[in-house]
Amino acid sequence: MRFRIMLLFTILFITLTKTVVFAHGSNQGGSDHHARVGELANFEGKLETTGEGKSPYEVQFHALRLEDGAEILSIKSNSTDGSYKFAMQFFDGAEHQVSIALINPATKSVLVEKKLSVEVEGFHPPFAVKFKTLAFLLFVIAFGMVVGVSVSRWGKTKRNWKGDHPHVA
Amino acid sequence: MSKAAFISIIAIIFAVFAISSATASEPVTVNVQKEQGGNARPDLDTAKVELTFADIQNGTAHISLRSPERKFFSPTDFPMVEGTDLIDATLPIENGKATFQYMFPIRGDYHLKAEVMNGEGKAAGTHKLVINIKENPKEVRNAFLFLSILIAFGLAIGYVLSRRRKNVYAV
Repeated sequence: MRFRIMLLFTILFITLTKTVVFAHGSNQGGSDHHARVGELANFEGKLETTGEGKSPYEVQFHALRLEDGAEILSIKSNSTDGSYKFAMQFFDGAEHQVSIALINPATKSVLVEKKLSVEVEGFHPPFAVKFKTLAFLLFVIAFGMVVGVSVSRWGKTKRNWKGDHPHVA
Repeated sequence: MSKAAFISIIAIIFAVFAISSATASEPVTVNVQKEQGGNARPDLDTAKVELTFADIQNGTAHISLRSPERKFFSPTDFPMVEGTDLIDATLPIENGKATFQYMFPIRGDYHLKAEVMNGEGKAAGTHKLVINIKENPKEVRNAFLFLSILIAFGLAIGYVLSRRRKNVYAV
């Protein structure tokens, strides 16, 4: 009976906890772009050329994770008129900053730069993964218990052979 | 079949493989390294991914990177990311090379598809590559430590709770 109650509580706990997780220090709203873990986030547009330099321009794309300043993606593409199209997936449910810069290919100087803050929605792992991991870790403990019990029973067997009767059930 | 015929057949098969491997050359190869050299760890190191093209000197490559597929056993650090598309962008090829920096999220075999166009904008082939990222060795070591602590814990519990009990009849 008690085992069934514990099993019910475990399953409820795993399934009913909120699926969406927020990173530390995230306050809702106030970011330019929203993205979700598991989906590609599209960045498409056009940077206005100021007349300096001549095409083909270089468009440099940087994605930075703000939690620890880690560079997630740094990629460039050539563009004749400043238009760009990049798609990447943000795998961490934290705040990121994307900067798209138009670069003069001759002097490598930045002509126009656009910075966007991206808030990424993270999710709990799928139920199957949680269940498998929980079952695996419980199995490891159960394995240890089986070994522990067999060690203690081996000790009892040896004592019985020696003629000691400990009145154990 | 005579012994001589058998040996000569084996020798011919061996020679065919030896010669073919010497002359085969990959049209596109990929090299993934940390900035300072060495294997890139998932979710920690920003790796420099360099694609080398044998046939094209200048052109563009439309790459699409896909994360490793979900395996039944051994889930990774970001299970939501397994089996999804990671990057979809067009890179310029300069002097036969195209590079970008990327932080790979999880361990496993990533599939990179590169659609190459030469300098005039004509399609020059689609190539599929595999990038293997090994797990952070510290994480593997910590996982083994954790599992051995769990086993020791189970051992202690199993042993303590099944030792001889006195006054069984009083229960």
